[in-house]
Amino acid sequence: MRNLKRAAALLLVLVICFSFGACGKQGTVQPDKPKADTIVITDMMGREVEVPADTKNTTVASTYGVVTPFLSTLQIPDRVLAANFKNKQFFRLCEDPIINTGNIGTTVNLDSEALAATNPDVYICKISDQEKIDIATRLGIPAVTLSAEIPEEVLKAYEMLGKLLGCEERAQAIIDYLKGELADIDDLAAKIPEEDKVTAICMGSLLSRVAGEDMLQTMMIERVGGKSVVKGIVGEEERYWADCGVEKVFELDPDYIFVTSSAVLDYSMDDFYTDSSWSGMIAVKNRDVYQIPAKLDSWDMPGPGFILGMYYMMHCMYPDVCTAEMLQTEVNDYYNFFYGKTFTGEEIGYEF
Amino acid sequence: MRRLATNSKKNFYAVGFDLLLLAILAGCIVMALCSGKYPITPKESLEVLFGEVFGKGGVYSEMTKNVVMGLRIPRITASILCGVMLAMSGVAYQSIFKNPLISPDFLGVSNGACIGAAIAILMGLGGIYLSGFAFLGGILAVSITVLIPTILKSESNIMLVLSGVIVGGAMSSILGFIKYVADPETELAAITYWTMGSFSYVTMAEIKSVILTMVIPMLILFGMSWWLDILSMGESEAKSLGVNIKLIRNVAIACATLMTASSVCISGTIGWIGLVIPHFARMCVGPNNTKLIPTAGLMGGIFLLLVDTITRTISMAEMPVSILTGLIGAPFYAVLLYRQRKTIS
Repeated sequence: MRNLKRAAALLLVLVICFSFGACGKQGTVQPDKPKADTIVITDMMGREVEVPADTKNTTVASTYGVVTPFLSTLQIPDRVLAANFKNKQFFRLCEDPIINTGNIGTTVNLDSEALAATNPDVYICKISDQEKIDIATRLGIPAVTLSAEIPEEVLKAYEMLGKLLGCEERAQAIIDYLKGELADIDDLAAKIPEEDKVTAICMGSLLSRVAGEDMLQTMMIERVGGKSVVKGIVGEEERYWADCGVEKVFELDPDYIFVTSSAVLDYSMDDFYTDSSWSGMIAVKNRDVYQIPAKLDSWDMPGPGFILGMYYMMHCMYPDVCTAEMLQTEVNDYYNFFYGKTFTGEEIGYEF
Repeated sequence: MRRLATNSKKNFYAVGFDLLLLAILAGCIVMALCSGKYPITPKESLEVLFGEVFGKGGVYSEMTKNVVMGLRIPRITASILCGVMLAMSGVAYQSIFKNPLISPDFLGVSNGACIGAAIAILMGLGGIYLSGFAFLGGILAVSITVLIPTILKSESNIMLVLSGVIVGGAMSSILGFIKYVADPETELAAITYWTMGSFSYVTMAEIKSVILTMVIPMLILFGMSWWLDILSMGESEAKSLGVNIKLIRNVAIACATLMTASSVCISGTIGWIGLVIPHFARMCVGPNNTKLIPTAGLMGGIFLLLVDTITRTISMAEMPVSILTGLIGAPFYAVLLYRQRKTIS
């Protein structure tokens, strides 16, 4: 019996020692790819990352769904080896070859072996994904982080990706387009007299959850001339939905209620009108509750689509300033510029 | 004389059985090294191992080395260790409480660890910090469980079990609240994924951080397996033999809890192993703890290593380990209960 214990203990100790020992020394290693020159880029966490200098041939893989529209609109389908999709149907409609790329996991879970098998030159993940960065580093793949939670970050993300993937021209064209649209929106918003400005809020996935004052949706409301009613309301974390409770929403009582399309809702849009407890709210009385389009490509998700979300909000709140025709033109221009295609209202999920 | 001969035969059988398990474990390690989405042949994996450990061997690619040394070795080590720990602590708990339905997390260690991990996820912490929070959460939950009978001045096992139910329930509610306030797309998904167990992100640094709290209690449990046999005879019988029941029970609980908390903090909660494996081992080598503990440990290590290898190999995205342990464990447990129905009734 004693021998048995010794044998079992010995095996465990051997396994442990072998594993630890195995991490310490080096053998004869042959690089997978010829050692290339590198450049250093600063990612959106402020990390300095060494990436291949031959940026025009840099291949990329990502598990972060937000990154996919960026890669798609930069038009480098041959170099995207793996991507994660929030909505594949949209890219299918766009006939974008990115739809045929591989999969190395989800925003939550990176499949490390699949990443190794894909072996991209660069792996892109979310700024808070420290564990994924560690995995990529262990595999010798540079990990670059990206964040696009506010308009300024979207512009920065394009700039960084342009440099990283050697498509600076296209990235700059996109940045110029977005900056131009933002300037146009600012000009339109400046035309709205202060006394005509209306209050608005954006609801999250629950009826008790609203976009905090530092969130994209609130910034969109304010930029298009709306008055946000969530001053001082913030989520548990920076740029995060705030669970303020239904009673607080009643107390805020804005003129307009927008509902996000970036999350799965725990309620239906009809609930605002069928549930009598909501009937006292100004927005409900005036039937001014709107879900931000669209069923294919969310206009309030982190990414370039926020421009359309802004025009949509402005059209809802100030239809004289941003008319239906103007909105339709902007939508067509946007999809044409980014994806080389326009969509019908039915495809988008919004009738102009 | 005949009894001595029978005992020695049984011992010989148990030693032989464990040696067979060792051989199976070694085979499983080689198989796990060669399995995965990144294609590596057995020859390549052995070349990497020899090359990296002894500085000699064939030529292999950098990615092959990174996969073997950076991903598979930590996963294999962690899955074996966690399997061993959970199975052994399951044996210990079942012996102490003389209840075959008890699993290692009944004192609230898993629920406590989940809360610790969930708080770390909400705080944006990962890696070794997440493990640390989970470990502290697990230990804190068990401390509260043990404290309740002390406050109530009761030394009864039933009181401890009921205390475990209370703490487990309270911890579940707290976890529910944390899940409610978590971001449904990222944090909630991460918490849910963690509570289902996975070795996806395990690192050697994490294993090193818990190695002592795994190995030392395990050796103590080995050493006191004979006392556990006496304890499982019943309190009055043990007392009549002059055994300090309270001391043995507390030391065994402390060791089993440390082993469980250490494994939960690097892998997340993994169900069924601490419940099913002790039963299976008992069927193979009998109820004697001196034989049962090492056999259950080896079986646990093999089982979890196989399950982890399957989860990272079969599907497009990695599956949490608990899904498979549940799918295998539940019917397996039903079969075991069917075969043991006469003994149980």
